[in-house]
Amino acid sequence: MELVVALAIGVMTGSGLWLLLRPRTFQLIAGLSLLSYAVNLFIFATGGLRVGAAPILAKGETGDLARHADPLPQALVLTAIVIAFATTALLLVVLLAARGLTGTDHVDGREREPS
Amino acid sequence: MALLAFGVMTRIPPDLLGQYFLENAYTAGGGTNAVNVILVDFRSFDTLGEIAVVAAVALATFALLRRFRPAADSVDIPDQQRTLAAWEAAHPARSEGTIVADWLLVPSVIARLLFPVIGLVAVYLLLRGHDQPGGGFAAGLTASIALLLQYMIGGAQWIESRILVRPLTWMGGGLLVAVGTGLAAWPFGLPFLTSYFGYADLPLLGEVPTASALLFDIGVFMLVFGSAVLLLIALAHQSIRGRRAAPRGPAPTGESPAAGREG
Repeated sequence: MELVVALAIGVMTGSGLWLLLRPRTFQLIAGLSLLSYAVNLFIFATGGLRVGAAPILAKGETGDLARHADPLPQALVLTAIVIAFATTALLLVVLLAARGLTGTDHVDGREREPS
Repeated sequence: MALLAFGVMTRIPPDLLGQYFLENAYTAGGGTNAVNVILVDFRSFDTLGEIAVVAAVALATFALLRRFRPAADSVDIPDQQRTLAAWEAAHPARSEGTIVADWLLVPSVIARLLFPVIGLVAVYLLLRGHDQPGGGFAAGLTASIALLLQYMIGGAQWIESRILVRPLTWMGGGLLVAVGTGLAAWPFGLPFLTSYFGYADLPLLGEVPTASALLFDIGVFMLVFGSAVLLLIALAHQSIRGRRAAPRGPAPTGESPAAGREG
């Protein structure tokens, strides 16, 4: 299980980085999203993957890491998701403006001259 | 990265910070959903900063897009749409766009009926967030989905002639509620954002956890709702302006359907 999740994180990081280095702005956004998914999944996985660990406490009970899921990575990842959403939207708008100003969606602002 | 993740996952140290939060979530925070208690209680200052960031981003997007018109489309209208437009132009009984409106009749009726239902689900998620899965963020996003579905179905002009959407008011109100909840701890001689909790029996709703963290969560809900709606509305308005900036090309002749079938 850990191996599968770790491989998924690795594949997502690799794909995200590759897309991040592509010249088109849409690929940039997709790559950044993939990269943030990979990081979120990584943070989430630091709590450990366990079966049968309840995320919700019973009333009046003090929780225990042996029986409950670690809440801290989940809380951190929730924050990270919201911030990633906001920054992605901002990046999208900035790239939209760049497309409007330069007339091309190349990250350099102009197409590469055919050589 | 995969190696790092694998290493972290297979070597969990026995004493984690999460232990403290789990032990104190109910006794000190008054909620059984430990994740939400962390967000709105133990680390509420962090959450306050986070929603401020979201609000700033939404405002920046709004300001950037306010006077901005998108570039003209680089791809022409697809053949199918051109065929439809030509057919509509040839039949005076049909005005422009009615075929698409008829196609979308069933989904649009469903989406309009779902609007109050999704709103109710959002309130439900908000109120149960302290004890069960849910919370301000999830509720805010759910509520904004309800509104955005109407935008997708009806179009920006249709919805705005019917509902007065004030995302800026929602955002400002949300931030004020969240900060006010934090300030409310000062008259009791407690540090900023100290929370109070208890259970109250509300009419119709049953027993609801009324922590002051719930007020904070309501602030988060309002702000997330306002920001998401503001962001996506700013983007949605681009489609109206785009059409105005680049008028539709001349209607194609009768040859284009045949050409479309060949291509």
